Amino acid sequence: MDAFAGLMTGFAAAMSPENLYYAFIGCMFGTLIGILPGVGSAAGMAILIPITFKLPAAGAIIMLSALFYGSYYGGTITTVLLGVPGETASAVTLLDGYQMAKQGRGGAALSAAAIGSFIGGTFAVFGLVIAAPVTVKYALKFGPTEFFSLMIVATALLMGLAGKSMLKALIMGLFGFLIATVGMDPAVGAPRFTFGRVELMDGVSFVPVVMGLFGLSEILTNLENPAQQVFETKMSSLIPTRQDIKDCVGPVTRGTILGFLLGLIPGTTQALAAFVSYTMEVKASKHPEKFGNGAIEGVAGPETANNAHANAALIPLFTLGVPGSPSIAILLGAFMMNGLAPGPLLFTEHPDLTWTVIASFYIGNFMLLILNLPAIPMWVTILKIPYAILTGLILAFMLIGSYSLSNSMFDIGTLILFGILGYIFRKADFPLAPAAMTLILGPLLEKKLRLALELSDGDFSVFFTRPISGTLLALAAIIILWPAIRLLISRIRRTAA
Amino acid sequence: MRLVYLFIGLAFLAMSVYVMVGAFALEYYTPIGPGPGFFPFWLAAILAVLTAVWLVRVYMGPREPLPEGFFPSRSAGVQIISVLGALILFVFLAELLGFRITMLGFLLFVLYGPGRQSAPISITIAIAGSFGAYYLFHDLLGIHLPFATIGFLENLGL
Repeated sequence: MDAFAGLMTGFAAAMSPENLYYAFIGCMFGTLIGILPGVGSAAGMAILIPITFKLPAAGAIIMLSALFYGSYYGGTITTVLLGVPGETASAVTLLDGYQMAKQGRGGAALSAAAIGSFIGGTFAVFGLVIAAPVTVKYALKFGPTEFFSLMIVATALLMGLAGKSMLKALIMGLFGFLIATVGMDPAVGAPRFTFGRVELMDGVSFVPVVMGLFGLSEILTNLENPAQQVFETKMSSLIPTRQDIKDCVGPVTRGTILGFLLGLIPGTTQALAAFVSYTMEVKASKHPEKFGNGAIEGVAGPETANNAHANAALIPLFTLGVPGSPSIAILLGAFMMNGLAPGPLLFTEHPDLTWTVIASFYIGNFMLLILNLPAIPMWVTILKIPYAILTGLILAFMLIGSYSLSNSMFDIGTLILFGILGYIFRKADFPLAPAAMTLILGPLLEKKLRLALELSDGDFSVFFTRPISGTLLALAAIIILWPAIRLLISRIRRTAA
Repeated sequence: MRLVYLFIGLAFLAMSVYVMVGAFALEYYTPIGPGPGFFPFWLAAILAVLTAVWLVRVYMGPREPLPEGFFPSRSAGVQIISVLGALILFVFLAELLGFRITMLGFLLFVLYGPGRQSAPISITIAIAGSFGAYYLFHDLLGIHLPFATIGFLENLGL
């Protein structure tokens, strides 16, 4: 099936009432996650995975994907109108968006953000449609050796960009890998590190672990901070002026390209795309003094880049099976829970489902554009609910979600344990993203490693002698050793001076 | 900060040693390729080395003071412990008292206690979050939630 025919078939399926309903629910929950400060997209997705348990595979993935990209729309609303960034990626929008709202131009800011996000998001999905067949054609030639090396690069990139210390990121990555080894060995069937518990035979469920690391630990951390005071600004007309549209053309174009390119690199975040876009706009502007005082370019560029990134980040997942962020790793987990393995084979073994999900991205982005702007007063009202009540309800959701995984209190215990660990790691400035990503990638990585060694009769040199694998591993080594290389270069320069 | 890092580092080292010892007990290599102990052994070994390097760097480098607000204030600490205590209690009570009663109690406690909400609000939200959530998840979405196993509550169908 060629890409265009596949997409058309996908549209036909995605437009079915039930798939539209799943996309709609995903968009609504995603926006809700986005507007709630202190609940990131990874935590929100982990918390809401249980509502997809009873859905068909396509419905579950459509809903979770909509939830993922919807969260980035939601973050903008509260940032502009209330000065409270719902998502880290929206923090940069605060600089000009909130200023615009204070000047009575909140409606124009939100429209610029929504239209920019829609353009950025749909362009990235278009990129997925174009890039997928080409990437898949080459990826099908990859053996377990190349896939192993590719996953190492993705993990190295995430660790390299995860925090201030590469050592801490590596430690957290290895911690996640070790947790992933718990359970029945995939090849021989021997139990590993199960402490004799039947519940651990299938391994540690990633849902309560991610929920604990990101969700519960975030709630515990928020208990320490007094509730933020919300300053509500007045909403103006949502229709931007002709000058606004003219001012947004450049930022939206640049934001789309920038967000799309950064989204292809595992480990880069939406926040990074937004910040780089803002810097780019300040530099490109003839009036840089306007920035920080309500420049619409400062809203349109970063918001476009942020959403283009969110959608482009799905390309490595769909074509290579490599997640670039914890949220996408959760999506990968959802694929696996439904018996699907993202990667090149997804397009050949499940083309109908794959194209339905991709077509739903267009529909979801359109839904967010059409539905979100009129629903703004409702979202603002939700944000006025005291945080303590939201905390109680989120905790209840976490308990139900963890329990319903295998009808076992053991999973709630896992949630609590990893919530406490996540809280400690946050305090000690250990990045959580590498642990979540390696926990989900661990079983896949081990499978590829062992298969590669079985095929090469235990010859380790195969990872370095095969050209693609060798290049990828060299790249991973450079990424991991980069802090040390940078230090060495600066010392040499100092000595030379 | 060194002491905090020392505790964390030692915990990682202990975990590495435990996994390495455990991996030895598993088969390292089989006739067809790597065994169940192969992957965890090397992961744990690398983790041990990296943790040791990190600890050495922490101790060789300048002393870092604890960041402001590292330890929660007394009231925040009480709130955190209360929420964690309520969660642990939920684990022990849910299969005895059933989901609805346990969740009702959990939400009442979290909202009225650490959440400092008024009694009417706490009661309303607790009923919605327990009986309402049960209706939504169990009755509508078909997700199993625990029933009471204590005589009179079981007889009431809770």
